[in-house]
Amino acid sequence: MIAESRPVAEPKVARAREWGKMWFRFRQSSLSVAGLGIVVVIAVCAAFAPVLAPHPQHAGSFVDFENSLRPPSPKNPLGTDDAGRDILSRMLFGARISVTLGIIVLAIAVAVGVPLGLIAGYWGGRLGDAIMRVTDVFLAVPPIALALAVTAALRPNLTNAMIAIAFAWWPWYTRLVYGQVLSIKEEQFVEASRGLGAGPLRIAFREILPNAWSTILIKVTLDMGFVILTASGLSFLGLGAQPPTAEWGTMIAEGRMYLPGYWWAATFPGFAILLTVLGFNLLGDGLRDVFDVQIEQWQAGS
Amino acid sequence: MGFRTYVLRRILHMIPVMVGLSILIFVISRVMPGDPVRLALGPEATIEQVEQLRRQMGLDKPLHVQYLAYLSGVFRGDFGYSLLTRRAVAKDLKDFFPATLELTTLAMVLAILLGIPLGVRAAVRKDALEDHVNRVVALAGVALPRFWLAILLQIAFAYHLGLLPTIGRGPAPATQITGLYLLDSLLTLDLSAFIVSLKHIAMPAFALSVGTLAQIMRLIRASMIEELRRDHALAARSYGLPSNLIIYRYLLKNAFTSTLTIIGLSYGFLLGNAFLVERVFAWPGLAFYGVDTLLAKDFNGVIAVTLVVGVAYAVINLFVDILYGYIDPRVRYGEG
Repeated sequence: MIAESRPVAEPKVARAREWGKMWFRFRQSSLSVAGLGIVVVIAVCAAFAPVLAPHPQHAGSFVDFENSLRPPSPKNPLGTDDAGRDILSRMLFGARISVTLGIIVLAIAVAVGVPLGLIAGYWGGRLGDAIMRVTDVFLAVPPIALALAVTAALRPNLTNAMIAIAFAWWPWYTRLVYGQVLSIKEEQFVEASRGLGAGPLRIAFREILPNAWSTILIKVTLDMGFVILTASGLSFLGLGAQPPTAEWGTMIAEGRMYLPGYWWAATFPGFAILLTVLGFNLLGDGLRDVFDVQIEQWQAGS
Repeated sequence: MGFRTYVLRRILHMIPVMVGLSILIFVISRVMPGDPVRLALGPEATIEQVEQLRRQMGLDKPLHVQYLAYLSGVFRGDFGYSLLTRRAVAKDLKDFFPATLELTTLAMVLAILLGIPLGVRAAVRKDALEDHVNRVVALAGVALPRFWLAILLQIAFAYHLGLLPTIGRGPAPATQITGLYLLDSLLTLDLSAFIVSLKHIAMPAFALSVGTLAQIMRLIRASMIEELRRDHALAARSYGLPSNLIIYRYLLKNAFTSTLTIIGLSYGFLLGNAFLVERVFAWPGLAFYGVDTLLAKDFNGVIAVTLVVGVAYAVINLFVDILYGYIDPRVRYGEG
C-alpha cells in the first residue's frame, strides 16, 4: 500500500507490476493461453527444425522413389510424399519458411505503412490526402488479388511472393495508424507537449507513435496468421514457393495430384496452416482483450 | 446532406479510385519481364510475326499513350485482346464473370443463413458447452485455408461418398438468361437442371463461405448478447412473449446492423478466396481465368480481371452502405 501512495518513486517496480497484472488478465482466458502455447510450439518448430525433424535431409530436393507415397508409419509418422520424403520433416521446415515469411512481410508493411499513416494523420494537408487516396487504391481490391497481379510481373518464387504480399499489405497499416493518430493528436498530453515547445517531429514520433504501438503490435499478431495463409495460397496456385521447397501450400498442391488414394500427402500440411493461423489469432485476440484495443479480426485481410 | 447526395458522392469517389487502380495494374503488368507476345506465339514464330502482333496491340507506343488508349477502350467495353484465349477479353469476362458472381453470392447467402441462427444459439446459451464449441469452430473457420477445406470436401463427398461431382459447373441449362445457372434453371422451371447445378455448386460455395460464416456467427453472438441485456428485451420477456418471437422479431434486427457493416468487406475476401477455391474445383469463373492469364502473362486479361474484381467489390460495398441506412435509420449520411 505504501507503493501506491508514492507511485512515481519506483517506476521499474510499477511497470513490472503492470506487466504482472496484464499477464494475470491474459491467463483468465484459456483460449488466449492456448494461442500462446501454439505460437510457442510453432516458433520452436521453426527454430529447431533441423534438430526436431526425423529426416532433416528431406526438406529439399532429396529423392527416394523406393519409399514414395508410403502411408503413415512409425518411421514416417505422417507418411511420405511422391518423392519418398518424410512429410513430418518437411512440415517442420515449412514452419521455418512460413514464420520467416510472415515476419519479413509484416516488417515491410509496418516500415512502409506506419510512417505514411503518421504523416497523413498528423500533418494532413495535401500530402496526407494524397497518401490516403493512394491507400484507397491499394485497398480497392482484396489483398490476394493484388498480390497475384504483382506475382505475375515477377518470376514466381518465395522471395517474390513475399514482395507481392507486402505490396498488398502496407495500406492496412497506413489506415490503422491514420485513424489512431487522428484520435491521439486531440489528447491533452499532445497539447501539453506542444505547449512545452516540442516540435512536430518530436510530437509525432515521441508522443503519438508510442501510444499507437500496442494497437499496431496486436494487428501484427493477428496478421501473422493471415499473411501465412495468403502466402500458402499463392504457393498453392504455383505463384509462390516452387517445388521442392517445403512450403505448406506447395506441399498441398503437390500432394493433391495423388488424391484420393494417397490422402496424407495433401491433408497433413493443411493442419499446419490451420494451427498456425489459429494460434496467432487466439494470441492476438487475447492481447487485444488485455490491452483493451479496438480492432476487429475481420479488418485483417485473409 | 440528403441520402441521394450521399450515394452520388460515393459513386463519384469510386471513379478516382478505379482510375488509380487501373493505372496501378497497368503499370505492374507492363513492367512484367519476359515477352508475353513471344510466349503467346510460341517458339516457332518469326521476329516479323512477333513485331507485327506487337504493333497490332499498340505495344510499340510509349506507356502513357498505351494507357490512354486502353482506358478509352474500357469505356467502350473493349478490354483488348487476350493472348491466352485468342479473343476479346470482354468476351472472356462475359463468359466467366457470371460463374464467379453465382459462386460468391451463394457463398454469402449460405454464410448469412447459417451464421445468424448459429450465432443466436451461441448467444442464448452463452458460456454453455455449446457456446465454447461454437467459438472454437468459429475461430477455426476463420483460420481454415479455404483451398485445403475444398480438397477435404472433395475427398469426403466426391471420392468417398460419391454424392457430389468433383469438379466443374455442370452443363449449362438449356435456356441462358443471366448466365447464373441456378437462377436460369429456376426461371425456366427446369428442375432437373437446377438440381444438377446445385450439386456442382454445393461444395465450392460451402468451402468459400466458411470464413464469412464464422465471422457472422461471432458478430451475431456478441451483439445478440448485448441486445438480450437491454431493457426492452427484459420488458418483452416479462410480458410473457415467447423467446423465439423476441429474438427473431425484435432483437435480431438490431443485432444484425453490426453484421451488415462487415458484409461488404467480407465480400472482398470471398472474391479473393475465389481465386483459390475456383482453382480446386476447376470452377470456370473469373478467378480461375485470372490465374490462367497470370500464368500465361496475358496482361490484358490480368488487368481486366483485377479491374472487374475492384469494381464488383466497390459496388457491393456501396450497396451495403445503402442497405445499412435503410435498416438503421439512425445512420446519418455524410457526417464527418
